[in-house]
Amino acid sequence: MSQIDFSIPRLQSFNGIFLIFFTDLVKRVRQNIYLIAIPFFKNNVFENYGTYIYIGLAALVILQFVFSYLSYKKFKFSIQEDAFHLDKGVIKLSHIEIPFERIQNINLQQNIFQQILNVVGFEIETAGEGLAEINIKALDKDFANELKAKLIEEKQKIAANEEATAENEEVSSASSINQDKLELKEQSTLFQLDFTTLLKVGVSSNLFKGVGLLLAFFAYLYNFVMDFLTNIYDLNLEEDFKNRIPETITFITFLIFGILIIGFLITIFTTVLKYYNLKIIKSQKNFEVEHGLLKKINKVIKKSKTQIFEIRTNPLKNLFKIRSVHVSQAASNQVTEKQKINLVGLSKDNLTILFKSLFQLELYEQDFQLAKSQNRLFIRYFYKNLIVIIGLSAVAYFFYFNWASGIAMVLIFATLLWLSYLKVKKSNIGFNSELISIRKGSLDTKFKIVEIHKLQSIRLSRNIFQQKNGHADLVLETASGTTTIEYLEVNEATNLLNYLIFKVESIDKDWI
Amino acid sequence: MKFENLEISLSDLPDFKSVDLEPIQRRYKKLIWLNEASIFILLYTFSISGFFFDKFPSWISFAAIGILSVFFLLRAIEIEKGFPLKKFGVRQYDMIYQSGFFYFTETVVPYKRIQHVEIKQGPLSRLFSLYSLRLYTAGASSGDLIIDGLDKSTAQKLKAKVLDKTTVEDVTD
Repeated sequence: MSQIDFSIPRLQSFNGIFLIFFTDLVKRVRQNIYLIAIPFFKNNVFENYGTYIYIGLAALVILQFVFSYLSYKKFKFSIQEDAFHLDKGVIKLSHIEIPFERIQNINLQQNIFQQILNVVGFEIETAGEGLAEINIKALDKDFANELKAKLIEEKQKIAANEEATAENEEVSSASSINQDKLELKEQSTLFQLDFTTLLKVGVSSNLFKGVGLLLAFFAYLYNFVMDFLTNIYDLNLEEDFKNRIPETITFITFLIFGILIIGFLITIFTTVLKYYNLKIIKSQKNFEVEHGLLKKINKVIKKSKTQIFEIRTNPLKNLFKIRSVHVSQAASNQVTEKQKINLVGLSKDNLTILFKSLFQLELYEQDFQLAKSQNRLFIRYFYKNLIVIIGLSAVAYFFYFNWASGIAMVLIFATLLWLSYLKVKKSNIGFNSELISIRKGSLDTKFKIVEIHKLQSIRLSRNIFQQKNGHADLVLETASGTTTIEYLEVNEATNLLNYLIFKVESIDKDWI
Repeated sequence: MKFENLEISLSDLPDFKSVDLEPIQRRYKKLIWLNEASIFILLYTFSISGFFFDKFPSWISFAAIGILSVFFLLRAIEIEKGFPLKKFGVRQYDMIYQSGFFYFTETVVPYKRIQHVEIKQGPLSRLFSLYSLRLYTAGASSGDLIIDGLDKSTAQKLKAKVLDKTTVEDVTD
């Protein structure tokens, strides 16, 4: 079908050099972001060492470019008769071979750099067996599509050869890749996020992320401004502040409100950027998820690979009648927030359909038998919060102690305790004959659903206090991470473990 | 070898607590102590050597020795009290391992979910001719089952048992 000979080892698209350089540079800056904090501790760094710093930075950038160029040159891939081959590494050479039948998903994506340079990122996902997943950063779009088609074709050939074992997982996943190929004809859009809902999503998402970003920025800015003012006008603002506490407090209140409002706007803005034009496309057994304005993301939810199905709501989301779903698929390590597949702004009906096609069960007809976390859990949270507060108080005491900061401490402590109380109330685990449900959260609610047969191992953990007062933490391991339910009654936890293990062993289904 | 997939009452479920667990080799405790002692001797030497430098304030050394001693005491309790708790059990469809005094954990891993099995022997354990059996699942590494301090025949027997179960599963699939 294609005229391209894939068996010759080839390099990425030429623009890849710049892409690799930019992404590496961004990575380096991120790794060393804490260096920006240096002006916090030392005054006049730039005046004293300015030239050296700039020369040093320039040298580092050049070095990085050379390194990026070499890594571009060393990054070679090809398709041989039985597998996808990849050579990479500048100092430590590595050779990766992925047999076609191990390929689970092929994702194409474009972030902002890749859009500018007109290349696409090419990602091969494999089953979670500790094997590195392959990420080719820069390919020409046509070439990437050809390569994808070729890999799928090879995989199908193998699947065809294994026709004898028709019930095998392998075939079903191969045929689902086949589905991907034919998706143009068969796909149906399950859900498309309109702009008003997207705004609602932005409004109802956790605004503290935006606030955190903003605060970090302000802390940095504050220091620079202080430095500047103190140097130029030779006045001691710190002293001034202390003498004018009442004014300062009104100022701080305004500042806090300002920060909250701007943080709120930033949150909405980033959410809109991230989830712009979210689409869920159903293709027989799988779902394809697409979203993003600057960074386009295209991911596939596979039924067999899905391990944890997490529904998140909060009071605001309830008000808007939307909820988000975060799907964790099998991976070789703990699935991070970033790796989860996020579907936001879903209505109840969307959720029902999605759930039904993933699990063949009606979500709202599920009846769970519940085991709740016991109230003693609050004591654990109390001590944890106490440590935080003692730490904060110590900091406050050394830097800036007065009645205002004392009140602030009490308020923070009260808030933390209240959140802990909500957390304890909300924490529970439920089960029925097929599913486990785990509920967590404080103001928000995280409702995780795991199929029982996806459990890898189960553990009871009891610290020395729990051994005395008859409680246990139940730890569930899945192929996409660990989930702990704290402070169950020990008998309940034991019964649960017995039941779940019995189910895992008796259900004749595989975890992937 | 299938359970009938029926809902059964909790009291009819096989209880993992009712299994007779087997202890690991007693000489493994010596090995733990040897390990522990070497680390603490090193740390103590560091803190005591502080006294020989005049410029170094002696209260830091005292504090370090104090903190070390607390840690040492805790570790000693953990080893002495915790060692008898290190036990493993073999059931028809899964393996059980328990350990820990301050943090008592009981892990159950079904044979079905085991990805691969490994018998390992470090340089120190070679001295004691002890082996450790590792059962890896597809879950996080905290969910893997690691049984230290087995003698060779037990380790191999357990490995054979697990492999047998997992391969049997493969055949019936």
